[in-house]
Amino acid sequence: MQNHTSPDADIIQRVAQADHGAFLELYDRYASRVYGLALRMMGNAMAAEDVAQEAFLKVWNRAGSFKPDRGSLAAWLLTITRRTALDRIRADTRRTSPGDPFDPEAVLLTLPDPQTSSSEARWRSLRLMLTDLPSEQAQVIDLAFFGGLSHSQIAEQSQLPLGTVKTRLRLGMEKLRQAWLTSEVPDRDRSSSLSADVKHTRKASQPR
Amino acid sequence: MNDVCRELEPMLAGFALGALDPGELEKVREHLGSCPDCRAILADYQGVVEGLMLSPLPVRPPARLRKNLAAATRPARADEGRGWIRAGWRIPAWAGLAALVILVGVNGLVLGQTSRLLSAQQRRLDQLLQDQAALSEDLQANQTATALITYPNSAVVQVEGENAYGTFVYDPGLRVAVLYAWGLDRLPSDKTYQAWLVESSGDRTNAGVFQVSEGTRFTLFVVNASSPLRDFSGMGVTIEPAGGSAGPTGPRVLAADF
Repeated sequence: MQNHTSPDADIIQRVAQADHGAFLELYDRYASRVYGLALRMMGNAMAAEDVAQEAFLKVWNRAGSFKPDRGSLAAWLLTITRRTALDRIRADTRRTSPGDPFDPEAVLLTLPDPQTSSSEARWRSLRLMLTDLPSEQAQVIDLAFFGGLSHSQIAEQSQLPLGTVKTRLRLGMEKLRQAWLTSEVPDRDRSSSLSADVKHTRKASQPR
Repeated sequence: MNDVCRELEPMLAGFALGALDPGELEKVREHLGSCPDCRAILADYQGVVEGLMLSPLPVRPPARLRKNLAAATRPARADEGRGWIRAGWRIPAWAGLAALVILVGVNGLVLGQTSRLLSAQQRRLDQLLQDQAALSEDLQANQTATALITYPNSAVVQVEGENAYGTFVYDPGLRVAVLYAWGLDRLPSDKTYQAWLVESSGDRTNAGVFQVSEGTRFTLFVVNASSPLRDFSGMGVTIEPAGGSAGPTGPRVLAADF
């Protein structure tokens, strides 16, 4: 659980006081997550780098608006990254935003309570359910979340009836929500789950 | 929960994802201000959204990103900008012109060399990006396998063959499963291993093809089935021509009943 004395809270407080070293510490801790999300959304390395840079500069300039009791630093940072990427995507495609423009204060208001933040077990279950979603449901969630499309924009792009898009998105999200709610995994010995010398394979084809 | 809740609750998932169109967005936002029940449901969806933000695999950014950010946020020093020129030195006009001519010449040489270097760097970068994509795919498979192993309803069956053996981990209600196999030989490039799921009618459904890497002890293969695993009565692995077959044609090397 996040609190004012956690390492993240300490770092962001120092960043808010323009502590250059703390900013680089924060960068080292989260750069791979931020860049991974940006890359996933932008689809190419140069654009992802621009997004990551802009996101970190926003954090540098507005660190004082972060409130540790309202959500985790990781969630705040990734939300800023996502919004920055969506702004770029929309600017590139001249699309209007279905949601809000970037506003760090507004970001804080939409973050979940720290007590509902993802634990390892919950995240594993959610990830599994993501993999297991029917492709048509996963696709609309993907377009909405990573592509920043609204229901009607997804319907137009996918050439599907608006009602179908809404239903698929709602059903998919409901499954993820159920996985989120019911995923308290018993504490098993996970140490033997995978070893470092696991022989990975490539899936050349996957029926879906 | 009142009638308004019943009307707007189906929109909460779209609200959490930022997918509502403007009219719906205003309605939901207004309702949330006065409805704790819907706010509670929304909090769950926002937990899911946080998970979605974490779903892309972490990727190490180029080193120049850190360098750029460090430069952009470095505090200005009091003596910054006070170089020798500001200290009272003056450059004669002829010296400036000569320096300019030399610089143009040197630039031409450097540009040619730089262009070749950039080209080589680009090729290396492309290769690194390919390697990174492959590693990401491996990690993705690994995480899926780990998730399934820790899933509460997962079942494990033994898979056996003449020279190979292993385990198949699945949840009857899900469409994803993991095969761990020991003892599979590397195949020539014109052959591949192909996994099959056995339907209750006896028909075989393609579950994907895979190769075996060199130098490791066992193979991990994530199976994505076309329907929940409860719809199948078993699985098998055969050797097929590269690219796979529509149905099993080669020797069976592994099999299991659920």
